[in-house]
Amino acid sequence: MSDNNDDQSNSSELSIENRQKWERVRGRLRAELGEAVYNSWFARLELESLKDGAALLTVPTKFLKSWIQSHYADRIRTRLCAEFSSLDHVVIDVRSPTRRARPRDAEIASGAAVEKTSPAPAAAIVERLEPQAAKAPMRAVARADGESFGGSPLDRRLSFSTFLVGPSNQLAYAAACRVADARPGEHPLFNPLYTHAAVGLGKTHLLQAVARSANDNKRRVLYLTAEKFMSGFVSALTQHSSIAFKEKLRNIDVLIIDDVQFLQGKSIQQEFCHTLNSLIDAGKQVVVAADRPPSDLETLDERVLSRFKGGLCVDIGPLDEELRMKILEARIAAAQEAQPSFHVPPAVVTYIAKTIVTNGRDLEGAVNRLLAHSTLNGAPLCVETAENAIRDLVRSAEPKRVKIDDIQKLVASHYNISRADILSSRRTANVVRPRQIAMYLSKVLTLRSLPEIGRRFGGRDHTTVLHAVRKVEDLASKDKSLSEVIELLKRMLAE
Amino acid sequence: MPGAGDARRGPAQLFFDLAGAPRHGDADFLISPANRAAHEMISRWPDWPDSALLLVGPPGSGKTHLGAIFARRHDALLVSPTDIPEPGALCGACALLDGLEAVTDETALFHLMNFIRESGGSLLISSRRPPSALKIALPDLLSRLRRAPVVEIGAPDDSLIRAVLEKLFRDRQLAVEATLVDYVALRLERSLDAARAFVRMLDEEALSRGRPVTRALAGELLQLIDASRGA
Repeated sequence: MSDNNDDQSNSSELSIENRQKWERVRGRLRAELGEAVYNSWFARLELESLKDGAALLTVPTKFLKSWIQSHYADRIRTRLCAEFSSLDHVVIDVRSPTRRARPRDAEIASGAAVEKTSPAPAAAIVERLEPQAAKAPMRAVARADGESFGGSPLDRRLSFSTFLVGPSNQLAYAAACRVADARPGEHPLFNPLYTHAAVGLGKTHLLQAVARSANDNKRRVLYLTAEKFMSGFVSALTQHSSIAFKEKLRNIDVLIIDDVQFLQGKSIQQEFCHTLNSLIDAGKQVVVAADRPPSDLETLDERVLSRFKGGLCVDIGPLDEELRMKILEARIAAAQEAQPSFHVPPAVVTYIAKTIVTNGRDLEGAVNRLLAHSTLNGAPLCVETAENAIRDLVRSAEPKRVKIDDIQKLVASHYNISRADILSSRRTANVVRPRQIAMYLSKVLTLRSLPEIGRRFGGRDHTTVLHAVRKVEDLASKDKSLSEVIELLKRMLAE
Repeated sequence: MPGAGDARRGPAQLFFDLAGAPRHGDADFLISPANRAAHEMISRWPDWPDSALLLVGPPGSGKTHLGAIFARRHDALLVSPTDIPEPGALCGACALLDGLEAVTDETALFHLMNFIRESGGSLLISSRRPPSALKIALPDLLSRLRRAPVVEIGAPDDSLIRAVLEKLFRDRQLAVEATLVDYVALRLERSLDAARAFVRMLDEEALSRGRPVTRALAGELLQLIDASRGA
């Protein structure tokens, strides 16, 4: 199954008998779950050691660990216990490339046991994602613990060093840096800091950069999305753990809440207002972001609004072209890390920076489309293919449904005849060929059946349509100028 | 034969629709130029450009089938468009939402997409139309949907329609001649929905009349469809 040396040296620590037992467990899992599921999740699962009634299983990524733990832990334990009778403990952990550096026993003791849900460490308020392995196919996954008021996970890519600055976001950037750089205990200069911008302009990036940086600055940070605030935070506040939570809040230096326009409901707003007041009064920094200025947050309590207005309010405007170029280049470079063959010519970058003017997330969408396009086609990108790949981002409507009427009108005007000529029963050469081309286009560009097309061409039989379609296909394969005319007509109809 | 005419005038023979659910196995999926890109992108998971992937195609183009293949291969969580779960209830992983156009709670989908992205999971979303063409009121959601790359399933070509007709007849245990398939493919609207509806109708008609599936019967039904469309 496993062919890399790492895994082989590993299993050699087990006795032959135990290795055979482990192979039987794998065989059972494979039979029970099917080839596809097995290969997705278990192909790289290894039994690393058996010691003092504990089995240590390892996988190469944190994501696999979390997925197997949450979906297959019971099944694995049952299968292992059936083979290894003395087993009472199963641990799944991530294999590190330098596994030998750490003592094995400590690893078992600290690894998250399958049986018990690990209590959340009280000190870890900001949950961090571990730096992902460079080649790992997926990003590491945050610990899905039961703690109701833990912070939202931070995306390691959203730091100040990756935030690109231009005239439109300069002020917001400077204010965020100032807040993040404050020394522990220093009285906040702007409190709260309120950032607003339309979607996709970098609010969340800025907030997460503040969270990360302030945390590095030895300040205790709680970063929450509005959803997390509403679901976890408030339930903790209003239910059983209210006192414990307030105790905890007292130990926070910086509270950061994203997308406050989603905060809804009277009790939630009351709690939010209360939290805001007590934190600000205690000299703690509060940072919030929304998609609109405070005065437009109709649903928020008047007292909350006045608090917001008492701090510094900065907005991020639309990105200018230079900034759009910078963002695109950074995005492309990041995509190249995962896929080195991905190459975007400068002309395409310029074209996209000029075309996608909406926001940074749409620029990301454009790079994602180029990446998908080049992955699937393997052909080098040019402005024309790029135009095609990002079409749906630029046009708000769907591609137009071509109608038979439109085809008849366009073909008639191209050949300088009337639409009535096309529908007529005349059989002169100057009418017959355009009629056949119009029938061909109707078959290719619409979903209509042959009898339907025949009817729309002056009540002709479907065999006539079929004959026209085959005739035009045949002619176009031999006659370059005809195939060019057809391509031109197709493009005009799609406009 | 006396009585036979009366019997024919009476209610048509009752039948049980035993064709059951359409088959959504890997081997049942017919790859054609119209759906090759979509199939390949889905097979490449987890090597996707973004945490979400949009699969866009008209009704009956095979979105649900591709989604089912994806879900089975990776044991994806199925998210109902009308009942999107609280993100807290999920574990970061891969999930499938079949039918973006049917989503009722946009805010819930917004939170779900954020959660899946934060936790390093993937979400496959199928939709009849590209997100920009749907009337999505929540700009935050639309913006995240626009970030996701789109793979389109185009209108099926003639060869795919033929292959699908054959598969649909086979699913219903109907042995038909290749000439019948050609005959129907030429005369039917070029969509998988039309093919599906037609095969079902033909099967039901043959069952209730107690007649075998023949070209004559198919021709009769096609004329009926054509007449109702022309009217």
